[in-house]
Amino acid sequence: MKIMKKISLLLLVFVFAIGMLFAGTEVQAEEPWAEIVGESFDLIVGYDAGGSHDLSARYLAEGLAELDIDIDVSNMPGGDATEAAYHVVTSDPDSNILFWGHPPAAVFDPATQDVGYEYEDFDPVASIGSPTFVLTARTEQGWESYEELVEYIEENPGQVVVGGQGMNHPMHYAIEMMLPMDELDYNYVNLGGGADVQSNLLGGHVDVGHLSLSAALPLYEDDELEVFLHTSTETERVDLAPDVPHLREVGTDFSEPHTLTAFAPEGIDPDVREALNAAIQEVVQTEEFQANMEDIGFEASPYSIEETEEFLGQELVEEVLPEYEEWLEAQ
Amino acid sequence: MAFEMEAFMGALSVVFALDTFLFILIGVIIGISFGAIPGLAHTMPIAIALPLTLVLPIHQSMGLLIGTYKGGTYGGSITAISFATPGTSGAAATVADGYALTKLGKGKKALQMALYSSIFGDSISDIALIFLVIPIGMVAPDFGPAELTALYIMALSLVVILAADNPGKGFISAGVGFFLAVIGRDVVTGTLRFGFGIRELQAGFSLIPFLMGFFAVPEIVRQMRKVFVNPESVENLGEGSAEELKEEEGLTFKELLSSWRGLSIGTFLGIFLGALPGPGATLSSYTSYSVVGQFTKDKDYGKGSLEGVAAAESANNATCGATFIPMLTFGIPGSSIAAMLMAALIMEGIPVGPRVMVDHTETVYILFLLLLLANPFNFIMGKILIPVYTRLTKLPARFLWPAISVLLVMGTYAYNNRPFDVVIMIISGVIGCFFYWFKISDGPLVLAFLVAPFFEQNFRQALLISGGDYGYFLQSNISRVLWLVTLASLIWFFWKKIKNGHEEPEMRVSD
Repeated sequence: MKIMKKISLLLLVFVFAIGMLFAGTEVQAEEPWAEIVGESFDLIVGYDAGGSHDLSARYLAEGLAELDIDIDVSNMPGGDATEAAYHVVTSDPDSNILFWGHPPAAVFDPATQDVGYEYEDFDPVASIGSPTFVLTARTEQGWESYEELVEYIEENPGQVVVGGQGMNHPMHYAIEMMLPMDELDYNYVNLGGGADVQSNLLGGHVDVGHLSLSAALPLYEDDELEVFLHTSTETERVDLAPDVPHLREVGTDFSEPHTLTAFAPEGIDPDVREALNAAIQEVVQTEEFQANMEDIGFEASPYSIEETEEFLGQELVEEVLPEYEEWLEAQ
Repeated sequence: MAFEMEAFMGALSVVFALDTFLFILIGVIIGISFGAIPGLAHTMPIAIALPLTLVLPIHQSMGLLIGTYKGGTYGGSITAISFATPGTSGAAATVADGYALTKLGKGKKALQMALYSSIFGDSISDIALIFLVIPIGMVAPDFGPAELTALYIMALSLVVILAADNPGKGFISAGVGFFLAVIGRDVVTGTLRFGFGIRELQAGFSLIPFLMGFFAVPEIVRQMRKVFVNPESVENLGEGSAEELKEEEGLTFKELLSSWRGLSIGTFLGIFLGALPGPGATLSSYTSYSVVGQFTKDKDYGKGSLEGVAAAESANNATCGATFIPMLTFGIPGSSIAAMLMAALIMEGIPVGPRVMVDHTETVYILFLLLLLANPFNFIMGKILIPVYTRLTKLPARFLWPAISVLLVMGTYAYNNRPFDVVIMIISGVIGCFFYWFKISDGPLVLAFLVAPFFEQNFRQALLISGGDYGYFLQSNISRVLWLVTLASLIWFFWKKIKNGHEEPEMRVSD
């Protein structure tokens, strides 16, 4: 009898063990990123630590770590992120390396400058949404809307100075979309970056500024700045500034392509690419990631590989890029 | 910002705890260690430690980062003085006098002067931040492209002063600096220039690899040549035996006090330039070093002067507190370090902007206290490490210089993870060797290299804003004052030179 009991107990333990094993395997099998669990990837950021590219990469790494995927964020600033992009496209596609970049470095610069690579040298893995950019001015200027700003420029030709973050660059092109220079007479100056635009706006050296919502927000909330419109690719209404209209609402069908994407070198194993995309989508949908990204002015949305390729390859490369090149030639 | 006792007491109770002290201490040790490794600087450990802000409370994470920042800014001087290899770009101006003192057997004095002046400049800068954050912060945005152009012209006028002793060589030196500075992307239009078909040159000559190679390689070549030609002559670097080393004199209080010009001018310029966007510590130390050179009575200035070390080191550390000023007043990060510290605050859930001092008063007080507290830790760790580094300089050259060469290559590569930076470091080293052999002053080159991109950018931005009207450069009172100071300084300098025939120092790693 005792032996029977022992055998029954052993059988029970065995059945439980097998059950747990299968159950575990089933959970593993359900995770579409199982292929890369326990693996380590280098995520190369094209700008210095502390900027929005760097912060978003670190938040993503934090989220992926919880899925047991190790991400080593490295900063390789230089050439407006083209140095980092070049480093990645010239790496072995099986070396678990990714470029964390935006369309200017992945699509526009390679098409218009000799940076040593092309968009086709990448296999885009996953986009995660975009920082929101805005057109803004000091409150004391008295312009309360985009229309009032345009009216003032029309009535005072050559008097308004607009500060942006690029010359003959997609960000300069965005300014042209908002305030077309063939219709409006103003001076455009390329400043060093968002902090530089902030500083020059506050000091009264430029009248209108083009910068990220995250940079403008503290001053906007403090009533130092008036925000006229935003150009997000992700949404028509931004939660952080719900009263600010999209550029489309004032008559121009354009949104600024700043969408951040993880790019692998061309030829990455399709299974690894799929798994990475699934893991990134999983992280992007978490509340914590959404909240972190909102804090730095991002609208985060999960993109499948197909959606990522459609946005970058079709929308940008086939539709926006030819118009941008035409504009560039006219400069 | 009105003083809020409740918030202050809350900050005090958070900061004065063992865990905070521990994190500051760890930060200072990491900072000094990384700062003392050529190329690695303190930006790398801060970048590596950034994700910790997601898991650590603010007093621990900011204590760690601030400790690293301050320790690293000071740590750069150690190798600059001991081996003519600046650990950070901010310590490049320390090389001339610091290393000359080491070769005179006064390395300990130089290291102590660097420590005391760093702590002095840093502490005054922190106090200025605490009491003058609002007034200085409100003035900072008034410096637009026109005002910054005038400021950089003032800095570039120092090139003329430094080149005055031997105008031919001086202007060759400045010309090389200007040329190297414009390689890469046009600072305004973004187009590529002087790339010579080399793709990697699109990113230009980075500051750190350039300075590392320019200063360290000639010294390595010189020392290694001695190792091969006459090994016995370089068994140790300084003069004297190990016994003498034990008795090597430290800095006296009188010597410290006699460097008051360097300390005060350096601290003032560090705070002023640190609060403005730009090259921060590096420009501050070079500007201070050059300006003090015009006022000093020390005949050895440029050839082994303690006041030279004080001028450069007080200035670069005085930028530490000041760099927080535009960040706390408007949320504008004025430097790459400030951007990282601001990112850390954002990751801690503190939205940095004009309201941070009102909405997060306790956090701001925590930052102030951490900044002040990091100074004594920096001082203690510096005191502990000085004897170690003094001894390192006495290591046999056949071990020491190959080790420095390896660290130099590793540090330069790790700076941006770019293999080509090592090539830039070597090319800069070759240029440094030519400068050494032909006895060309390196001051004009470094200043021109540092200032030219900022000058060009602001000059062209000002012209774009004004629509090509040059009168714009004189429109504001700040601009007018800066132009007047520049003009008056040049007139005073040449008048003094003609009257006294005073021999001006050369900022060169002299033999």
